Amino acid sequence: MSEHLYTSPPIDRSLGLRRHIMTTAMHSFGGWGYREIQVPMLHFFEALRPGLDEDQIERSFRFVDRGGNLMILRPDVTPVIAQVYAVQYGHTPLPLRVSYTHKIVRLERSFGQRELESYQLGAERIGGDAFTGDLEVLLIALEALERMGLWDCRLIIGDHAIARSLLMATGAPGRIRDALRDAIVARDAFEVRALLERLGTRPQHVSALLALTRLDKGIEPLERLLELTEDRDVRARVQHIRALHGALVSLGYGERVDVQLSELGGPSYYTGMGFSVVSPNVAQELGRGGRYDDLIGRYGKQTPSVGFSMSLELLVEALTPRAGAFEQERERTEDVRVDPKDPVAGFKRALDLRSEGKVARVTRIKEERP
Amino acid sequence: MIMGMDSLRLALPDSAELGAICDHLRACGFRLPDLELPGLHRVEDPLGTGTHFDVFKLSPADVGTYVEHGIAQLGVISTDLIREADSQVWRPFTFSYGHYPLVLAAPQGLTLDHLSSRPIMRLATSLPELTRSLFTARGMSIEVVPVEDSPTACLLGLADGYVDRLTDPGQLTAQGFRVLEVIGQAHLKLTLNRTCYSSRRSTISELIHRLYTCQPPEPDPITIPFDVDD
Repeated sequence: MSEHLYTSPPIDRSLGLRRHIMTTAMHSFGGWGYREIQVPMLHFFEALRPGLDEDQIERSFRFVDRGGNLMILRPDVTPVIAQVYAVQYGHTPLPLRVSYTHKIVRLERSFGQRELESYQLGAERIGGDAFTGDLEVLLIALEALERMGLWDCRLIIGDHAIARSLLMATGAPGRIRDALRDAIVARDAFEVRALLERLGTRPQHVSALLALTRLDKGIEPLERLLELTEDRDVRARVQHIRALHGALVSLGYGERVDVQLSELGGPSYYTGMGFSVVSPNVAQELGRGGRYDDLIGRYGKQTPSVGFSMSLELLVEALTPRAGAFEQERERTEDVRVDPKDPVAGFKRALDLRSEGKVARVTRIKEERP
Repeated sequence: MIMGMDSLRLALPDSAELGAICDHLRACGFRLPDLELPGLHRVEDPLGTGTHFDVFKLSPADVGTYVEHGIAQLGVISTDLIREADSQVWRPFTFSYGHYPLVLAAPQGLTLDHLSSRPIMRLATSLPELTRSLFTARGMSIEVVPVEDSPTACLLGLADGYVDRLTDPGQLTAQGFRVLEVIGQAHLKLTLNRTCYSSRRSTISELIHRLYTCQPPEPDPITIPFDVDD
């Protein structure tokens, strides 16, 4: 692997756009009472391990330090925050709202699977009521995207608990459940049916799992599932998602959210409502979030929580077609000529421009040659 | 980067199924031109949803990559190639044709016991990742020989057996091979980029609906040429 893969380019033409995205997002998060948190980059692997799944561990970067300890560079911010909260902030009143813009180090899926460093920006709401928390983070994600200028992004909302309950009800062994889950995520009804028929699964379980793979609109997937299952837990989860969708529609976000019960991607710590952020301009999900009610419990006291994170690099990609707006801002820059013999007048003009929020670029008047 | 906001790109595999796929699409309303010509082929609003399609053909193994990275929003690809490349795509429709068993084959006279008794089983295949994962899941240690023409590799002694799609049982027998085991199935799928459905729902739903409506009957299943002794 060549050396440059381990380092970010020192000068990046998208740096201004990255700064704009970070500032806008953190401003949005702060506007909802989320305080910025700093967490370490380097961790003892065994200490962080309970919150990481196999895929995250496989993609992580680990090494032995000089003391012989196995260390890990954080591959995801949420488990780190869960650990920090459990160990250091367990006494604080709940809900605790934190936000961050942090670098993560992991093998990202790209053409060569060789990207290592990227930035996550996100918000986590630790503790508090589930419905209010879920709705709050969905609204914060939508607001942050709007303020960045990403009006055409959508949130695809699903529920991990529904799929988990329906998969457990089949009685399938873990390996088959994993294959079924992968087929549901791929919206592959043919594969789901084939796997279940091989197991001899009862028809009502087959129908319910097939309903998860359907590409319907609005809350049709929820209505369909209610017709197919009597499972009390599943029905309660369906009502929860229906109430969330209803609230988002009432708040004017009906066109910005979809319900797809096959939306089960992301780390395995999600336990309930989950969502992804998609843009018509980018081929990958910009971000992902959801409820993780037992993650903090792996490090300390059980504390149901919800949050989301977005990839700074993919947000830049989504905004790049609109980067003209930032170029126009650059064009509003005013040159201020400063005479070295009387710099005060020139710099006064520069200060006036700055107080108006404009960009001042100071240039020196050339002295005439004698 | 996803291209072309008023059109969708559809990547088709340059494989034995291309003719059947084109006939199927024509039955769905696509006025497909001759795909032998290179480049993108514009099909004007075939579904009546106001969306044009740019259709093009690719090496079958490349379709998943194009769809995953959004260069094509839609593609047709077999599941063995999806698994081989671990392509992260949606698979909302399965074609009634293009179904093939994935088999472990060996020269006639050899059995699985013969191969298993060797210090390490060496298998030739054009699907190295898939083969490795299938045998690893069974706890079997094998050496994978990645080649395009796996029967030849086996005939010339580069490998003890091979893993491949079984498309022509007669040819397999004529070459002096037998099937030891069916280790999986390959199905032809319409694939979809993960992020494009929400913004193109009506067109994609209509396409899937028409593909179902115009689905040709399933061909007879392939007869597996096991040895008579089996």
